Amino acid sequence: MNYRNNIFIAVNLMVLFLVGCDAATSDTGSTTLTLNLNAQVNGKPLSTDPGTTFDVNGTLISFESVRMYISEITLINSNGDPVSILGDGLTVPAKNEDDEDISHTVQDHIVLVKQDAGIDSYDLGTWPAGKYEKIHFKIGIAGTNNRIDPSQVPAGHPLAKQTDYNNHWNWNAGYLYLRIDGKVDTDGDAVPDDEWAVHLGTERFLRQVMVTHDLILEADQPGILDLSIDYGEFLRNVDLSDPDQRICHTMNNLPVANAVANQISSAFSISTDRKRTGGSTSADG
Amino acid sequence: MEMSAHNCRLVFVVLAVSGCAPPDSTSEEQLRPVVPGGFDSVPVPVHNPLTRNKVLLGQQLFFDPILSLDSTVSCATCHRPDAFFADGKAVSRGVGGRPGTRNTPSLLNIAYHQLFFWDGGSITLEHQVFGPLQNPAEMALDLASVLQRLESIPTYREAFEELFDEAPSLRGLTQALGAYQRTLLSGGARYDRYKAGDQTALSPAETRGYKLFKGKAGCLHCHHGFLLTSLRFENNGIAISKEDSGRARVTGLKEDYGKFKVPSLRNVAQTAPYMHNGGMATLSEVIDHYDQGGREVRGKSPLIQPLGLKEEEQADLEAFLHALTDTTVLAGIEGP
Repeated sequence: MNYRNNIFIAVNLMVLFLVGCDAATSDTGSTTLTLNLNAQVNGKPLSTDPGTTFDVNGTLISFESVRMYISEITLINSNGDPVSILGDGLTVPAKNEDDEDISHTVQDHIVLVKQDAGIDSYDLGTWPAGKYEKIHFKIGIAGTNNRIDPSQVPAGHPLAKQTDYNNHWNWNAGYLYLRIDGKVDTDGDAVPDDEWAVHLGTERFLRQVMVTHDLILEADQPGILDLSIDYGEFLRNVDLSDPDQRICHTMNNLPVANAVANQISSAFSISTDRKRTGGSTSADG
Repeated sequence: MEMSAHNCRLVFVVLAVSGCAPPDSTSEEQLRPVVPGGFDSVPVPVHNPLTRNKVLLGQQLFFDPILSLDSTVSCATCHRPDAFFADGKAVSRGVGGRPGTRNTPSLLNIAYHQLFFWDGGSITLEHQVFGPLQNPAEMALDLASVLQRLESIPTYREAFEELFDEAPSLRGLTQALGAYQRTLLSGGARYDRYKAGDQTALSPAETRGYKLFKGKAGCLHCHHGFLLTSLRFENNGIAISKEDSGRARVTGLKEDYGKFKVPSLRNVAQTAPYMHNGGMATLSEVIDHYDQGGREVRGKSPLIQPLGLKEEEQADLEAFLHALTDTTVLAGIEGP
């Protein structure tokens, strides 16, 4: 009897061992992941100091607000399996697609990037330890998460109505996925004197970013993802010397909205100056 | 002529104590408005139950001009109780007398609306608060300043702590204003008495006008139900300015160009001028517009067709519209 029990235990242990030996994603631990976002404008460090100007397509501009939403973060492990995590869960009033009142729980871990506030590091949540090869995320807020009532989101949550720079259209339901603006030099005196703004939103301009990158997360060892973002890349196909291209609140200027949205994926890359793990530096759209 | 929250008494709404346990964290008992006959119960969102003190805080905020840039404009400046919570102007006027682009709609019965503003660009009664607060042509105050001002006034600070268990916040502010506005109900017109069975409530001309309203004039297509509105968005054949594309600004859909929310006709005789831009001064002008079948504009609703109303029929229709006035709304208001 004891012999048969020992065999049974040994077989079970072997099964457990084999299951636990998934090299891609460990189920034996987890760790926090922090995104370090190295902000640049055509290779020059981003600054929102009004006196700091950047040459974008031959036009001098300065930046004032620099914000965007990152959502639906997914890591692809070495088996090619997607791994995602849930946020804290926020239940708020929302509208469904038929504009009926509903209660909706935001499960996604959403990040509001505020680089105009000098914040370069963002908490991406707690992830299973393991080896990952790709990172996917979206710039913007998708589906019902974009139809919640921001007035009822507790202060401090990324989706709460911000009190400095507007993050949600009052007159047009939905979040500003990408908000970059500032001043542009219109008279050639090297001093920005008129406003420019790209405030991008609505579902049609939601874009996914895919970054190929080896990322090893070890249990209880805080992980860091270093990415570079080049805000000049967003404006690559926008001519801010043209008054008709200076102001885009999305629906009022579809050509500029399209031009910026189509550059989103190429604006991201692996941060080469602070890279901590090996891997390619390509970003896929 | 600003009415203060303290001397303005709005007693046309009776708040009853419900037996239901309040779903929020406050210890206050939940209230429910007693609605006019023929009305549905007031929809109260789960996340913002009505409580007496919350409604009172909302009322105080509604009449307080500190929520505007130069402390001269309150919500009640454009939504005047003595003007049926509209303002009698073609377009609203904000701080410094800056003109807005649209006519101020009445807030009476706003609790039943699903989408807010003429274009439906705001999704809840709470959310719409941000619009006028920040609009440069209305109250023009940034949200950080709003909170700083509320924080600086001890009575507000204490009220927010008591009701929401936190310092003045956007969530508390919008909940209080939303709660107060859900109590603004109006349904005591002679028309309502007529509908309830009192055949003497309408004069012969008004009765003929009501028949036209339901029949030949076709008003009922868009103005039906106890609110006398479908709450849908329609292009009623008004020339649209390039600056205001209506519902299309929200949806981005070409077919929504020039569409605006169908307004309730309750108290319509008291809320001139008319249309989203305040472009029509009198009811007879409005009736004439529809009688002509509106203007030939892009996207005009097929419901807007020439009516062929005789002069006396137009007069009867206008007489009926006057019967939609709820004089009891004013009964409980004391002036400043």
